[in-house]
Amino acid sequence: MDTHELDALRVAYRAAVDQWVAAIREEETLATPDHSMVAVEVWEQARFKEEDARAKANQARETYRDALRRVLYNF
Amino acid sequence: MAVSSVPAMEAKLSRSPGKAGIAVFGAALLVGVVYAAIQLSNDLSIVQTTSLLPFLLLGGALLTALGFEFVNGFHDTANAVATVIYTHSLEPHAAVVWSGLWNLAGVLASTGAVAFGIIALLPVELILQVGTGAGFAMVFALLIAAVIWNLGTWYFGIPNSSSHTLVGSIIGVGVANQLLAGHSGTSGVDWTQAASVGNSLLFSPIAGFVVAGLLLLVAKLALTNASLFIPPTSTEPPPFWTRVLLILTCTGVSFAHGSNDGQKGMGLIMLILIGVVPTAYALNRAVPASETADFAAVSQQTAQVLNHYADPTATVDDPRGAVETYLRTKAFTPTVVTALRNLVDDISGQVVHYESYARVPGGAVRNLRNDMYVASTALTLMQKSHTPAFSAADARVISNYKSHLDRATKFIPGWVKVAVAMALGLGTMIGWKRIVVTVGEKIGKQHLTYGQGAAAEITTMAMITAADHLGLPVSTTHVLSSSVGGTMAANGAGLQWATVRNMVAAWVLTLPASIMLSGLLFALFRRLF
Repeated sequence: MDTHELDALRVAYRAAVDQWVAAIREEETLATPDHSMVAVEVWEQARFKEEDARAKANQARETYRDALRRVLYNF
Repeated sequence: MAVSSVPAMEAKLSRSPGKAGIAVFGAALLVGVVYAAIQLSNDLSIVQTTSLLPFLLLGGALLTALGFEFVNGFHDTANAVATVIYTHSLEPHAAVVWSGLWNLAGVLASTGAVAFGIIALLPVELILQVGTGAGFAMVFALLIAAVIWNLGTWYFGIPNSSSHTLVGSIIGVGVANQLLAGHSGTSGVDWTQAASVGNSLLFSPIAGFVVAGLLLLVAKLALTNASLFIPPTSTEPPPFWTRVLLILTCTGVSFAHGSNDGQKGMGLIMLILIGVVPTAYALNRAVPASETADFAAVSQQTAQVLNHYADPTATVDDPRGAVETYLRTKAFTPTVVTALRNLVDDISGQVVHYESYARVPGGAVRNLRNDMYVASTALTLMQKSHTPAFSAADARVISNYKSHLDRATKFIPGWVKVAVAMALGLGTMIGWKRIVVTVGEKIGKQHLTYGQGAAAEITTMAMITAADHLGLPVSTTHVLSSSVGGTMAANGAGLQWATVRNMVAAWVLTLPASIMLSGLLFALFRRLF
């Protein structure tokens, strides 16, 4: 594991976080004055996408943190 | 966590710590395996059988018991090494090899008292039938249940007590055995032990949390070196004496873990050996024939003592049966003492007849062992319940007799210790990362400071040592994890409640889950064996 590999993991983590933030914003945008069943359903779907994006960001964070632990603590 | 600097990082990467230690351990492992294999082969050479089944059962059961110790090793290592790793006192691989070696030393130095204490929790009738289907069902059920729960909690990185898991498994077998026999399940359970585990569950975490927190606060008042109480900013080790203290406490916890937890596997392996190859292991063949006369004299003395408490008018047709009923029901009558006195005479007659334990023929060895086991257990129960109330002089005679019985039946061959030491040590070096990460990173909201590491380890070591003397069944895992939490709270860092919730849930669930698992497995295996 060298600094380039660490950087690659950091970049991947940041990209995953960006996608998560985008998913949160998308969900927020879909909370409109339209209180119909269809609108609520679309809003709910955006919530599921946000959950998937959060899981991916957490996974990327774990991978980056595992790599840092290998470097800092050697395990 | 942040990378301090590229040179420091490259220096870290260029090291290959632990390789020498792994080589030393590998050599010890090889020697140990060869030694155990040779000794086992020698012991089995006196067994006369044409069937392969006993050896297959023996192999399977031994592997399961050693598997339990292996899992125990990698599940519990975090207790000893997490603080030295996260304070940079030792390189992780060096720490784990160091801990493995001290676990190994702890097992080899153990006396066996805990091993037979664990066996004593099992239902007496199953111990006496250990070579039968019921005995095998018991051994496999409790071992497999304990391994499953330990593996499950390890997989999720939850520090959990292996001892509580084993006690729960034993209780599960007791309950299932009674239910299958058509009695109330509760009568097969040693509720004193269950209550001890319950008390420990409450006592260990609270005591660890409070004591470690207070210790850290006192240290902050007493010591002026501020660097001890802030998270390390580099990968440099702590000041010399702090480092020495952390390494010594890691060593002590590893040794204590080996000497205590290693014995649980030993006790179960002895049960297996006695069940499968009683000729070789039911009685201690190493006791010399010259001790037979002494045993006969002590037996006579004990029979005379028991006469003082026996019902002179009682007649007992089946002494061992009557004593077994007493052990099962715990209902004392003076007739029990009469039966026990007859049993003591009978045992003495058999030992004198055969001249030494080594000369007891294969067909008689299991019976003589069971007679001795029942007599010893009954005397223990009478002394613990103070019924009958033996005088001090009589109690001394009985204790002396019990030590003679225990010398014949409660022994652990050297190769069993070596095999358990290898399994525990090897386990220590393999699966430690998950739980170390939990203890080091996921309990508190701050990196472990040198002061916190030292306070947590000192608390753990002191409490385990004190608990051993006071007879309190505290869990090393619970104390250490709570101590880390206590130091985090005392430092004002806060706790990661999601982890704390998972840990507490696992601790509370351990007893019921292992009871259920082992009970179901026992019922299943009773159909198979």
